[in-house]
Amino acid sequence: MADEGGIYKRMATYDKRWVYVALFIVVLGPLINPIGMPIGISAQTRHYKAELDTLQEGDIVFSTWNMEFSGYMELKPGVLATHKMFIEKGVKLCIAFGHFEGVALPPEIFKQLKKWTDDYDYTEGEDYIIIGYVFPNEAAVAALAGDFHANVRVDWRGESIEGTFLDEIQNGGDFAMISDYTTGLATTNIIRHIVLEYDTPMVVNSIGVSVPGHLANLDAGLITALLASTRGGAELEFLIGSPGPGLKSMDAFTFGHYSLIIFIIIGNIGHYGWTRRSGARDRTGIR
Amino acid sequence: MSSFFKSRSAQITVLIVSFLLVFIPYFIPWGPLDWLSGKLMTIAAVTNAFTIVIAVYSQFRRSGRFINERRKGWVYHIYLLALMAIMTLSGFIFGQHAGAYEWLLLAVVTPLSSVIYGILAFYMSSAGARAFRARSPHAALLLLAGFVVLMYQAPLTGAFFPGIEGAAVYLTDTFGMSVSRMFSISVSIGAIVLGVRMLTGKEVAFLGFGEGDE
Amino acid sequence: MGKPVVCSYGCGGFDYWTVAGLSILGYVAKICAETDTRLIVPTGGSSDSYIVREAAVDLVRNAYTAAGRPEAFNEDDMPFLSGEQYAYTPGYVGILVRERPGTMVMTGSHWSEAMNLAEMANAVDSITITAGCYTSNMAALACASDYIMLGEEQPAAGAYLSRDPAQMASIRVQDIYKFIAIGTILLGLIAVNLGSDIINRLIST
Repeated sequence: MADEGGIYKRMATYDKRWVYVALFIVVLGPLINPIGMPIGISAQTRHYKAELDTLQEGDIVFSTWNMEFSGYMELKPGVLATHKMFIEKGVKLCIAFGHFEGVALPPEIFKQLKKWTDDYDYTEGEDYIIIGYVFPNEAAVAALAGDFHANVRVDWRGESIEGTFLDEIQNGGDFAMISDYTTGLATTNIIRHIVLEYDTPMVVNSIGVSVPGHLANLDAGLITALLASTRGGAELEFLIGSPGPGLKSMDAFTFGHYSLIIFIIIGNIGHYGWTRRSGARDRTGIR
Repeated sequence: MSSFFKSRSAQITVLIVSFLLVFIPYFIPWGPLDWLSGKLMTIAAVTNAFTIVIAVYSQFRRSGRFINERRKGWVYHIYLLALMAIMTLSGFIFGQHAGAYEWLLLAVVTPLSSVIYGILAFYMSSAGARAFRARSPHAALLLLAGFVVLMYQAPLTGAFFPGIEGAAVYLTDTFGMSVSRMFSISVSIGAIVLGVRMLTGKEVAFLGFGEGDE
Repeated sequence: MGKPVVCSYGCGGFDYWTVAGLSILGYVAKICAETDTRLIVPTGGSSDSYIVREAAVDLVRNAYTAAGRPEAFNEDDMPFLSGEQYAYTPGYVGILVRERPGTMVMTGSHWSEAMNLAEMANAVDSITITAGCYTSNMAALACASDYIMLGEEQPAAGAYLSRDPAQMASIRVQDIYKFIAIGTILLGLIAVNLGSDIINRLIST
């Protein structure tokens, strides 16, 4: 019996595993063999860099790592590029985690930053202190924002923070800036209890799916700058002249998006050539 | 005495007092009240952390029951308990920065969670490729908007067609942001109303009471 | 026919979405009890889910009892998968792949794992009914699900199905507040265009 619909039916009803295979190939290829295609720099990333450029040597920044290790994979370029800027400027960092997996992050991140920490003599205890997993819930954020030293007395290794640069911090308002890297954990709590209470400027490096939500905060002035996902991190790497994992992955990023567009076009050709005539229904919530 | 503290009215009273202790200092700053409010939030944060202890105890009890009764999948409960014990003991013995705990975290937990997160990209792609069909005028408009934003998100496009940034940013800053704002307003109002229901005792499931329980 | 139903109420604690998810779960449990359909409720996903699970178990047990079939309630069909989101997800996926439910109802607050679950339910040919409660995953869920409740449609559905007077009154009050919010926005728009920022200053912190 003839296959009614022919090529159009195949285009409309292709197995989704072809999408997986194609995506895997177009992402893996450029990662193994980078092509070095150009990228555009967005105004949003330029603004993010401009906000970081306002920091002075000695300013204390609250670096909140509200990400699991899996989220770090997406935010890595932005995290590394931002921290390179902090190190070069001589900014003091108070690093806190919003997830228990955060304890795996400092060795990984500071290994990547070793060249900068060595060149600028940036040491733990003197220039940055990691206070550990202190944001399990909103009450913890509120408590820490109100009285820092009542809630944090030791760093993540159990050593006292007395006598360090954190003596200058009494509450959330004493930080020069909050630099948040988020998959959506304690960010809203930090905005509520620190930004709204003390007007502390906050810059956010967010995963791609959370960007629309943070745009509203950006427009309202609750956050002063936003870096969007891997692409924003790659753009920041370019702006600071320090290519890293972000720029390396932009070729794969481009090909991945274009391959998805191609599949959408194929599906639409099949939709008009077969699905509409056959009366079959696409299984999706979009009508 | 314990029945008094377990009663619905006592628990709602504690809830109301706690709420007022945090709510009032936000609007009326007064030293002693601010201090009390801060202490309460610290106590809440510490108490919340102890739920992990209760969770571990509950899991051991539940898994113990499964193993004793040889219910379906009981072997996996032995595996679960063994892993929980190994992680807990290695954390206490070696600390979180060295030894078995760090190795388990870096070599087992983080790659596994990264894989689940990474799979999302494939699922989103296949769902998007399946769903974006111009089957109606609304869907066609959505497809067009999605096409513009998707093209902009590919970094190469912005390098050759800088004008696409304007179109994509317009779409996200008007339609996208208005939806986010609308959503935030709705969720905030809903959360306030839920809070009022809890304070007035109309919503008691979170206290562990069913309908009609006292 | 004859296939089980998988219904989850979310991973979060007792928040706005979870209460709606529990109401919907109660309704689904009632229907399953009346029609002798196996109901599977995967639980877990966060440290707050330990507390909510107890309420969910009581809810489903009461639904079966009210339908006159208390013996049909099986707590083993409400497995606690994990208190961690990315350990809960593969457990849930495993249930979908092994049981191949006829319908998956995913309500309450689901985060990034929602996409995994909806797409896998689609792959095992389940009718997928989801509720998007975060702007981050709503769009993706709309692509992957057969039917989706966006935002406040979920609490409205929960109130409608539970017929709880407090919940229904809440939906009505929220509508009133939304009209007030719309009025304030329009007033602010007019005021700004007339050169005054009085509305902005009144509502700012």
